[in-house]
Amino acid sequence: MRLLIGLAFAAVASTAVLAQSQPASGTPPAGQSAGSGSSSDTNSGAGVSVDVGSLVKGLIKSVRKPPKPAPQPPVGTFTPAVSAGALPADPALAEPAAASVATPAISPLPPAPKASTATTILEPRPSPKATYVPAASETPPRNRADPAIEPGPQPAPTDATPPQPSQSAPPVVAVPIQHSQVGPAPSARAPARVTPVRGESPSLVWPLAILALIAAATAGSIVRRRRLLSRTRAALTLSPRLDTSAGICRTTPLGFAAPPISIRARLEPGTAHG
Amino acid sequence: MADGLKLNALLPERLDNVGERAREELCENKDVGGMKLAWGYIETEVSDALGQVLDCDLMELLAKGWAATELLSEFTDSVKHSPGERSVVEIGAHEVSRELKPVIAVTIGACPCVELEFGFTVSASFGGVQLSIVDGHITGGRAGDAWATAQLSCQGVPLHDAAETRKLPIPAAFEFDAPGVPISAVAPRVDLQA
Repeated sequence: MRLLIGLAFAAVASTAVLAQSQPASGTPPAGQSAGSGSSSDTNSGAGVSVDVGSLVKGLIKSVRKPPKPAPQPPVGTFTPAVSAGALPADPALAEPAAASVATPAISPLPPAPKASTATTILEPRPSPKATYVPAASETPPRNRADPAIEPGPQPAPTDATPPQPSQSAPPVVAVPIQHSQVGPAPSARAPARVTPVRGESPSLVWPLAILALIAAATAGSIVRRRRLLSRTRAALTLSPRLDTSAGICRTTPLGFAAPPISIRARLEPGTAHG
Repeated sequence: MADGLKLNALLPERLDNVGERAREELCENKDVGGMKLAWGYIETEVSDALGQVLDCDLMELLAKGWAATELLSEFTDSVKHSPGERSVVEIGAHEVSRELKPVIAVTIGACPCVELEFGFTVSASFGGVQLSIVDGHITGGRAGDAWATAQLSCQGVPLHDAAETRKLPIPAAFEFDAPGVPISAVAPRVDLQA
């Protein structure tokens, strides 16, 4: 899908660049008529008018639109626990959170009951971070606040996340809490993360493909017009001329409205005195 | 020369029919008609060339009409009007029309040249005009209430409606480059309208 998005934006960008780089003389004239009959009229000027900008905006909106929220689980106490920046609602959970990545403090807890509650709570959660799962699964998880991001083969929390002194505080705070909740049942959460991602991609592929096709068609039309224009420009030679002394002059009878005035001035040498 | 009203200022803003007419005439040649060309570009270039060739001073053109009349021919006589003498004549109300034929030769590739001949008729109405004449040349003048208009045609067919024709006031004062517009001493070349 990223490839398609990149292709679409590249095509739109190339179309815009082609349209802007067109020389001024090559633009269709304002006075050009729409259809005057000849078969070659289609090459004369008018291009494809596609509002690519609005199309791109719509696609971007559809991409940014978050997935529909799934029905909330009956247990509502989980929500504050998974948010990395928020304080946990349960004061008992706040204690290990303050201890940052103190995984040994959590490891003694019995994993089975925690895992079962985490599974039942986290599974339907439609966090937007779930879309980030494929990228996150390639690298070892660090400072992840969302238990849903946890990859399937993740071992026990005590083994997976050693304390990272260089990490910033807010994301790290929730780590022990989620590990303690999520670790034991990773296989049950995996389908819940992937499903919404797979559900979005088909709806985006077709608009992006259509957009890419429109952009390619527009770019092709512009290129064809530019070639035709350059060929015409190279072949055309104009040599205008006008003889202003030729031609017929007509006038109504002329007459003097007043007698002509003639002014003759001269400078005569005067008498020298001295 | 006075930097006054130009002939192309009398043309309408849109000259759609000029391009179409040029295209029709060019396509009469089968070689040109069969070519795949950017006709919009050609039509624009022809219209631009027409405007370029009509980039002439209107008053100089009209002064050539006055200079060709018999009324002013006596000012070419060096006996009556000695060199250096400046005469001021005032002509009463009258109308002048001048027909020009701008030609645009169009060559497309190796095809033979096609000459597009247009007709450009300028009409002007003067309530009165004062002309300065020095050494048999009209050097300038002053116009009273005056206006001008023009009509472009091709083979006798008008290329724009009369309503689109511009009617522009003529500048009150005008002056030509030295020595000015020469007055014709020979038989008049102006048709006098009744």
